Amino acid sequence: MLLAPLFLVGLLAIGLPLWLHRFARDTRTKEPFASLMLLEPSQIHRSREHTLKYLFLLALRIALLLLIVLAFAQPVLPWRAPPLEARDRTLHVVVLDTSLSMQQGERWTRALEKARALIDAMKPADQGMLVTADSRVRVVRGPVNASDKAELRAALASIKPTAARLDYGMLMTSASSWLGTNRPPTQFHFITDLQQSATPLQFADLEPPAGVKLVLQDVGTADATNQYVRSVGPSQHDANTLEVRVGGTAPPNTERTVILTVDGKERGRKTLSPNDPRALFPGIAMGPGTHRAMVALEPPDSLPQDDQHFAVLERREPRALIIGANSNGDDVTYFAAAVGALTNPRLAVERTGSDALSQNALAEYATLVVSDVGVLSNAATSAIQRYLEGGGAVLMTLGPRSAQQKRIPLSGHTVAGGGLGNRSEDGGARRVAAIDDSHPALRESQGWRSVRFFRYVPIEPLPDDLVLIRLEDGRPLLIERRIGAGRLLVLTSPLDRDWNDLGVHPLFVRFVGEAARYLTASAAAPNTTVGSVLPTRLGARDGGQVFDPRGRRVLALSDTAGSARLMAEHIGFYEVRGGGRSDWIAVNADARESELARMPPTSIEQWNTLQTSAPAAANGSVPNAEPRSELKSIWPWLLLIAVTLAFIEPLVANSHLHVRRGVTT
Amino acid sequence: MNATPAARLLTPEVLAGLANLELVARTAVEGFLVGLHRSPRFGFSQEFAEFRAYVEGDDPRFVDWNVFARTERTYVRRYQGETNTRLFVLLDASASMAYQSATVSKLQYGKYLAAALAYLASRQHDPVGLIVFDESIRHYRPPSSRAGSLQGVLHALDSTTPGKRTDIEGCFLKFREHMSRRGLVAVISDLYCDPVAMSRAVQPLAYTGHDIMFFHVLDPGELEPRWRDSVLFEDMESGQTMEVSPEYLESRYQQRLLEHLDGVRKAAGGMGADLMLARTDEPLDRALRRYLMFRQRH
Repeated sequence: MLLAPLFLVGLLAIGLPLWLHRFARDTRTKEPFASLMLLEPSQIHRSREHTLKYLFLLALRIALLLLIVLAFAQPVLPWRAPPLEARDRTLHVVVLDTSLSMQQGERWTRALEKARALIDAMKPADQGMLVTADSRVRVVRGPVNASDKAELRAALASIKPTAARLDYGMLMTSASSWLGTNRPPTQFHFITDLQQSATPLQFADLEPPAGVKLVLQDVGTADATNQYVRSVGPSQHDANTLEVRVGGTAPPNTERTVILTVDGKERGRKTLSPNDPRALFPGIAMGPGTHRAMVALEPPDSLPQDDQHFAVLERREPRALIIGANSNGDDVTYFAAAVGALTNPRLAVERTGSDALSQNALAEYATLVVSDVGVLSNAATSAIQRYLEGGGAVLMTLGPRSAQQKRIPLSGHTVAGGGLGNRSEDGGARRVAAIDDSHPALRESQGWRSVRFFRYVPIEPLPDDLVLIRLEDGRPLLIERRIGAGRLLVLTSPLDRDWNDLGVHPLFVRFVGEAARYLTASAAAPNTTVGSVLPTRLGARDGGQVFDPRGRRVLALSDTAGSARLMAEHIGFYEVRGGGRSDWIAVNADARESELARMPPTSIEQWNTLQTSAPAAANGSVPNAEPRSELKSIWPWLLLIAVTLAFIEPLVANSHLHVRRGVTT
Repeated sequence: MNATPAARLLTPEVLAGLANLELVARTAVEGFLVGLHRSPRFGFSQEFAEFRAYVEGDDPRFVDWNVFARTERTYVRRYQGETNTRLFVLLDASASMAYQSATVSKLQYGKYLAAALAYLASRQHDPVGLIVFDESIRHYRPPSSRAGSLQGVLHALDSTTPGKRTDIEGCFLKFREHMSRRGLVAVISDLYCDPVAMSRAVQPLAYTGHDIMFFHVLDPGELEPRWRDSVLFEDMESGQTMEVSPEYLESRYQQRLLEHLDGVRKAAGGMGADLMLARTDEPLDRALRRYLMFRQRH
């Protein structure tokens, strides 16, 4: 069958070589000669070889034209394709554990070999999917037909293990979302080292989605040992002694040395004792400020990525600033006393009036406490707003001055009722009705229900607010709100005896202390793990840049102004530059990844049998076992042959003409 | 700097690169003169031979008036070869002379040869005339030794192109009208004609006292044609075609060619003329040297 039969008219062109060859036979090249006087006609016998060459050249030219014409006519041949075997079609999901522990020994090599073997073993009707899993699950190559195995192999070659942690629970519970529902029967080939520390708290989280058969591909080894640096920091007994804690077990018959480097200079070496997982480095005098400490274990073991540990050490007391209408007011004094009573962390407390604020100074404080935010000037509000967006932490109360405004400064809440705040209708006090005692700031929540609130500023919670405490009328008393990279706790009643008796309640000191600890901890976080979200503290107005441990810029140009967070992907020191300062954040591998203990065999067995009883219908498949009849176009092959003949023809023609010319001089 | 003998030989290829025919002639002649080491026997009529008594018809310019003053007898100076002083160059410019299998065609080679002879004669103040012919006389320049006559001859040679068929018999009949006085007649041709007819045409000139010299110019492709396959030859003059096998060219043709050369040589000898075969791949000065040696022997 031909798709474009009109092109067959081109077959008339075959007459051209026929005519040319006949013409060439009749018109042989005449050679001029001075005189035929001495010549006589000869009986000429053409050789058989020459005749064959002549005919071959003619056939070659005709074949060339024939192929070109046929190629343009687009011939198709009926082709019975093999049945798709849709009944047996299976989606093979190859999930590679790319967490840190997979870099131990030969695990990663074995994992790649297993993945390759799985790809090679797929049937033609099957589909393949390649996924990596660590702190994030990435679909590297979506479902492709097994006939395109090359795509899967190419995608597999591009995968590298990371330093992040994998939680099996996260992987399995999220599987149904990235696998989709419209899929054929699925085999979930999970290539992992079956690390004990990767199992979730609830074993049920390991259950695969419905219709998915889990096949665990174990690449771990039972006798793997690993030793890693767990932490480095000042000793509890001596601030000038740094204590390095080591976890795991050392390789047998290996003596390991701990090397401490502070701010790029080696400060000491200690040989680890087999029985003591600590190494103390006394006499490390560090001046005030931020210091970068790095600990390395030598010689490296089979998982060298966790033999280094990075830490940012702060040699200064975090400071808290209490802001009020009057720096000597009762509310400011109360807050200063409560924050100052905190022992862990110990905060240096400063007090100031709302009119003496400067933005640069705010950046030095770990947390701010604003008493009645309504007293702030516009400039002060803007300064605190930038501080918050850059990752700062603020506890603020609403008071009489706040109640006079329609919109609360900093938080942006709308005041529901005007005037000086709500009073209870019966004139009595309102009490707390609901508390989110899981919040870190409310761990010591006993006593809240005994506090009486005579007045408060009624505000409407915003959609992304976290209401931590509600009063009996349902109005919020304590709200947590995120602004940029910062956190804001809003207490809708001030520290004023006319509004409540919180100040005289024992709860007050505990609450302020816990809130300050929570805000300080969340704001600082200079040490974190791979896969965590880092607060960059880059404000939208100031901008800045983040450099990863390799010195490469992390933020794209569009993100340099106002990217509040980024995910740490590499082990080492991240540097955050912006707002006239430079901060360091130490990123280490999650210590749980360094624990190479394997899941107990019983757990593995249970996980293997943890299948949903009713598999999902394979509604993505269409049963069709009949051979498919298709039309296969062959014009590319014809064109390929024609091109080949086009290269051969000049060679043959040249040989033929060479014989005809036949002159030797 | 002394040039080696090989380097002195001026190949036709080198001469073909010289655009000016006079330069070609001068280069060729001077080249072979150097090779002769200034031989005293190189000219047509240079040497003083004798005095003889004046007879009517002698040019009074050659009377030795000094002798007459002393003896009152009129004598004229006699020079060797005085009767051959006029040089007629007869150049065949037929279509067959355009044949060329090497760098130069037979006509080109003939032109070089004619120019060299003309230059050699004019160098000795001998009159030089030129007749260019094919089936008729295409150009005629009477012999003259006046200044500028050489340039005229050379210019005529330079403008000569291959013509039509050859008719030596008819042309030689006409030559007699132009060559009333005796002289050296140099015929430059490929002599594709019947030797008997040629003899019949040239003989009257020989009988009138002309010293006739045939330069039989042939191309190597004619003397030794080498073809691997059969070839369709086209006669350059008649346009006729003939398919010839290589076997014929290697055997029968060679035989017929030798017979023809022999016939031509015999015909020339029969009329007292000299014949020299000139191959177009032969260096020109060597051909001239061969010619002069040939002349010296006869």
